[in-house]
Amino acid sequence: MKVLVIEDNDRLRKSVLDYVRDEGFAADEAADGEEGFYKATNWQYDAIILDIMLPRLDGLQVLQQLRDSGSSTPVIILTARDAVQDRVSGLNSGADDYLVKPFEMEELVARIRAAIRRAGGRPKLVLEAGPIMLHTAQRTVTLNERQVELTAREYALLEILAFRQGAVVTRDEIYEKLFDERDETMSNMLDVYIYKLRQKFGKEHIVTRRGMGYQLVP
Amino acid sequence: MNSFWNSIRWRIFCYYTLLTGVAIILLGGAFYFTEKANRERLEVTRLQATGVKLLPMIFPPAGMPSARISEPPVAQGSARMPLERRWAETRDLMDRDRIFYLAFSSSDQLLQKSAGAPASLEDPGFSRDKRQMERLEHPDYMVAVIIAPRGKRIVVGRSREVIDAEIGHYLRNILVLAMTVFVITTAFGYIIITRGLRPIESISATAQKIADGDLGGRIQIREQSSELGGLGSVLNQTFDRLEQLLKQQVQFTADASHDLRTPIAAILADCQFSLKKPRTTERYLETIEVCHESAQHMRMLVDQLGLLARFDADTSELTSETVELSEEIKTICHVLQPVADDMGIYLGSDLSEAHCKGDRLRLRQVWFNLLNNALCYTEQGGHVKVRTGRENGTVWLEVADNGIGIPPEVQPHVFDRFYRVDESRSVKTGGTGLGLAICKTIVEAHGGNISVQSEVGKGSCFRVELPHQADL
Repeated sequence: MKVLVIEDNDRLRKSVLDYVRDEGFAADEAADGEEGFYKATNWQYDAIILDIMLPRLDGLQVLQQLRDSGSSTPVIILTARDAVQDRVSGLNSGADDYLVKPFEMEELVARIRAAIRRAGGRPKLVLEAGPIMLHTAQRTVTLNERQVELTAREYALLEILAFRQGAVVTRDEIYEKLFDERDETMSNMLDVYIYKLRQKFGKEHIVTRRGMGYQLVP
Repeated sequence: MNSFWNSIRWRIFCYYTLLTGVAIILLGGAFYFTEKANRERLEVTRLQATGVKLLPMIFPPAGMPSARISEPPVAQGSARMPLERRWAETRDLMDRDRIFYLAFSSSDQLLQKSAGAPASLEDPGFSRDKRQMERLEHPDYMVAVIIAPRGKRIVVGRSREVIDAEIGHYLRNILVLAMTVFVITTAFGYIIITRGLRPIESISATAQKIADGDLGGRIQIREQSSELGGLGSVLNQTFDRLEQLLKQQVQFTADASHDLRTPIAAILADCQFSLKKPRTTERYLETIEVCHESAQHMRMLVDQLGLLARFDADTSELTSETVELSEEIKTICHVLQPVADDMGIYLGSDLSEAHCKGDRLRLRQVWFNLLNNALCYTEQGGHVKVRTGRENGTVWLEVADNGIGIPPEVQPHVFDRFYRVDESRSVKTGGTGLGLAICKTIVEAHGGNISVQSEVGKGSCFRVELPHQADL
């Protein structure tokens, strides 16, 4: 899962990035509206966290242009104004959710997940792939009803595969969603995570389609 | 009852009714008494006229037969006809008006009397020795005496009862008329008072609405030039000002809360990150740094808000001393020189002596803010120049830079509270968006003014003018 954080306050942006990365998201950042819009339209994100008061291009304009360009990526607005009018205009411009500053990071993360679930048309909280069960709300995985310990990255990779179970997910797609601009996208990093998942769930469930990508087989 | 008397409408109405009533009573009384006196005079004149008419009939001149009313003179040819007809007419008139007569001879003997003549008047002493046409006083009758030649006389009278009944009828008419007039004027008075007070009611209703919190209402003014129109427009201006001040206040509070929310959000987010699970020492240090920086920013904001709030409430806490601008600027330039050197900006000055009166420390804040701003918005290699001078009773100070400049459309707003030309820049420089607002507040509290001239890409020039203080 990859999110874009568009926030002009350096400190806040950095803290939010640290927190969501810690929660297993890949996260990119943008310090103003123009940069944010550029990134949002040029890369794939599962969700965008957007501050309203931004220099150059304000948050509502970014949102409007994004929706005009046909993007349906879920957007969560951060606003320092709690007037009803501000929230309404945000939601009317096509935001999926909003949070008033200051907010609890836990709540932000929960809302990001909820927005992604809704956008994927997958309100199901549990993803099932044969003996493997992903509890997306708690972010835990069980194999034959026994809990499997996963790092955040490992979980994120498994979730990407589980969302599209049975289908082949290309390496590029996984890279796009798993790593952010901060990561050195060395090709063998993905191999490492795949190897670890195979160790935990068995070779038969995570199949390599040589030259194409990976597949989660129930 | 108390509230009844407190109502201007009812008070005016009561006074009006009272005055109208008194006026009508006085007028009606005057009419009545004048009419009564007139009536009596008229009555006497009529009695006298009747008597004079009777005289030749009762005491005919020589050669003509006397007549009795009860036995009208016998017609003796056509020549007598006018007398007979006059008799008949006179008798009819007297019967109709209930006028009676008594005729006495010169030896006080009652010669004739009409059927209605009262016995009490048969006493010849009553009418003896009276002058011609004299009116006789009698309690029950109005009586006049007509003296005929050779001492004979006729007494003509009419019962006062009849006269009083006629006057009473007149009085009733006057009373009905007076009541009608009173009712009509009262009704009109009520309508006029209500109409007259309507603007006051409208003012009161509008003021009430505003007092209840709806600041949008304004008084409808029909006649601008009337007294109430004047009051209404003054009140409307007051309401406008009040509404604007309140809006500013609301905006100010919203802005202040907005500017406090972001650093709080940063503190919360970073603390929550650090507390979630064990982190490295470096990361903890970073969190502390975030908290420290955010707290400092908030402190600055709160200090400046407090300063503005104090100035809004009261400017009397300003001290008043003679301040020499060039000396002040030299001190501040000395402080800022290392900063300018670090930023690679040339900081120059062209100072001439300029005295003004004011609060040295507060003014120093203005100079510092202006210079600091100029440094912040000037690129490396640029220059900031400060000049002071004196002209036409004012002292002035100019801070000019060749920095990024201010777009013309935002120039009117640069002194607004929380206004930032470029949000991202002020985040980097740690500005609160209150610096220039504070400058303006302080300068204006000193009776001066502050202005800006700027061109994008060429730089800005801020100018402060203060009243000149003559050399002591």
